[in-house]
Amino acid sequence: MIGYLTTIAALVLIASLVGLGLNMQWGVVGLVNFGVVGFFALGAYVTAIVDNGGAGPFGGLAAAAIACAAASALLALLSTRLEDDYLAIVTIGFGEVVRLVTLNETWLTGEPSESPISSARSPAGSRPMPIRICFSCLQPQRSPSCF
Amino acid sequence: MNPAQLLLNGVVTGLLLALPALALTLVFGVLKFPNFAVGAMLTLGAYAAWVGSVLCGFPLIVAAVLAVLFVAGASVLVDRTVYTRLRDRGPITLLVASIGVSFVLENICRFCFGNDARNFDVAVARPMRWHGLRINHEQMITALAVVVSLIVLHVMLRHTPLGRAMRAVADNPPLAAVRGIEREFIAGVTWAVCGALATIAGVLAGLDRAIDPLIGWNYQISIFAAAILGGLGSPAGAVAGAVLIGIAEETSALVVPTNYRQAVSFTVILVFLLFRANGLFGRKAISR
Repeated sequence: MIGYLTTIAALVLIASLVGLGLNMQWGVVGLVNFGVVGFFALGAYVTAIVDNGGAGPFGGLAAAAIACAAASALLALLSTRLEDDYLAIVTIGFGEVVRLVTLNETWLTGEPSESPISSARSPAGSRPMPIRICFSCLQPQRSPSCF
Repeated sequence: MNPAQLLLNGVVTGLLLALPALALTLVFGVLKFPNFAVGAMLTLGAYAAWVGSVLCGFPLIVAAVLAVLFVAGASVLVDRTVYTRLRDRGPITLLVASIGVSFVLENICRFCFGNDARNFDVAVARPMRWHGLRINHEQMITALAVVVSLIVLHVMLRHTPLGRAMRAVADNPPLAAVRGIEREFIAGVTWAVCGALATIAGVLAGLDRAIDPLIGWNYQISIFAAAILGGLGSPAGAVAGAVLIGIAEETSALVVPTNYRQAVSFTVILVFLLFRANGLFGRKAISR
């Protein structure tokens, strides 16, 4: 039960962090971003890959922030002039492209059910939470066999 | 692969995309929002036809007609329960609502039929050969069905009072209202037409590949690319855009893995929005 509650609490906290980010972007500035899960995934994957490369989880975090900032800047350059509904379409498309890359480039990202942040693995070897969560958010119903 | 073969495959893929792209562009024209549920309507149509043809044992064409009627009705029902209440709330609210509708429809299919792929019960036939080109039976059926649908839709839009009313509402809703055209009635008709178009595409997609709950979603980005390429709101543009997207997706297979078809469509959207934002035929997309 305690394990269940802490898992739910962690999920809620992570979702609220994403929500705060989206509120800043959409609520305050007025840019509609439906690709927020794309950046979420990008951050998780960069952290995991850099961490597995030996830079440690904090190195991974820093790398993820830089990579996501770079990707956002690129998308912003491409899309700042667009009207609301077109911007929504472009950002959804971006999220889809991130999903396609993570599902198809398995040499880099591992199989879809793997959990690549090594240092997040508990000694009992069972529950690498952050990555599990990212996957459950990202592919609730999108299994790779479908395309 | 033979370039002419790629071109042929691309045109047929594009024709398949043309119907949902038209559905998208019609809703955008009349109701002024991008309908993200178009893929889910396609999925629903594919499953409805599957139920008719495999479970009930009707011939495929009868099952397809029943599915068209069913999904047209379902679309009107969704409009009355969801979109009517939000009619004047602006495009983004409606867009979010349509994403919600998309999840609900997709998961109804998932709940009723599971995640397994289903197939129509059609005999496997040897492709025809013509000057070195291989033409599948599915490709011929697709081309024929789409061309007939396009002609019917064209006649309806151009030469019937109903089509004229739809175009009037798309063009200038207040003026159309002054002339006594019921906007809600026209909205209902638009949804029914869109449901019908998406369903025909769903049946054809189901013939071409297996039916699974994501069959519509997997076309989503391509459908949007086609409609944007043609200029949102322009029916003729949507068809031209769809054929171009189909050709781009098939010929890109020479250099890009086929898993990335949607990424190719996305790139086309981006390039077009950057350099020619009003599409081939449409209105301006950039305001600031």
